[in-house]
Amino acid sequence: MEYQPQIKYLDKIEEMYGNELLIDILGIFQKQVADALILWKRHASSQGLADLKESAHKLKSSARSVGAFALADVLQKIENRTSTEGLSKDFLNIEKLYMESLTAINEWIQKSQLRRDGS
Amino acid sequence: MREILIVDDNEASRRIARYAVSKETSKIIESDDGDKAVEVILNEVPKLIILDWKMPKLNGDEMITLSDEMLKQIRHLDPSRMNKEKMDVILYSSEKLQDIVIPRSPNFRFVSYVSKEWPIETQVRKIKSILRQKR
Repeated sequence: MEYQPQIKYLDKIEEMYGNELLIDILGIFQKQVADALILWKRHASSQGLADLKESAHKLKSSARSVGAFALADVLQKIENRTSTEGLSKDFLNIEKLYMESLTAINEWIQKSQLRRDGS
Repeated sequence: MREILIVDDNEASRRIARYAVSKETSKIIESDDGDKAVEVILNEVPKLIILDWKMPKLNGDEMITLSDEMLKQIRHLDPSRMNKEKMDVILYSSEKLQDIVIPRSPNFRFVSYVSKEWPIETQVRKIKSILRQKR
């Protein structure tokens, strides 16, 4: 399953630092991506490339911090862009990768909860 | 230890940096933009600043330059506020270090670089090791 690398990453961070830090970062990440998707959908045709690149720059770090490396790579591509050509394809890719990441995160949260309930 | 100031417009990055320093001190100030950070620097003179380089409104280097200018004016008006110790700065950025031009500064000393591209555990470990050296 493509979620497994991210789940393994989250397991490792939880093992090292406990889940308080991770839960905070996951919450921040989900909110940031949700806000960005709304912003991009509304303004994809009129938004300046500079604004989109700035948004991608910020999200990229958050994505890496939660193990969503494929998503971070696409955001890096947007940050490196010099034109808006093909941007809509990038957005579709981001949405897809974000949904995959969200699935991984939810699966991890359930597993983590079960571990804590069982201990 | 005097305050540690974390300057970053990304809340997740601030959270990671806060986690890394929280065992060393409870005196942690966070700022989500360079303008507010300049105010903190002028009033609190933190011992250490963990500084994001690329931020909207005021970048890291602009923040350093503006702080230097304002500190110069303050000390001109009130020489008793002369501070012999420089404030240490950890660059905390997803920009590559070779792409960052660090300004020369009379008030700030750039002691290290932590990349946001690194895994979280590497970021935390690096920040903690820098703090241990500063004890």
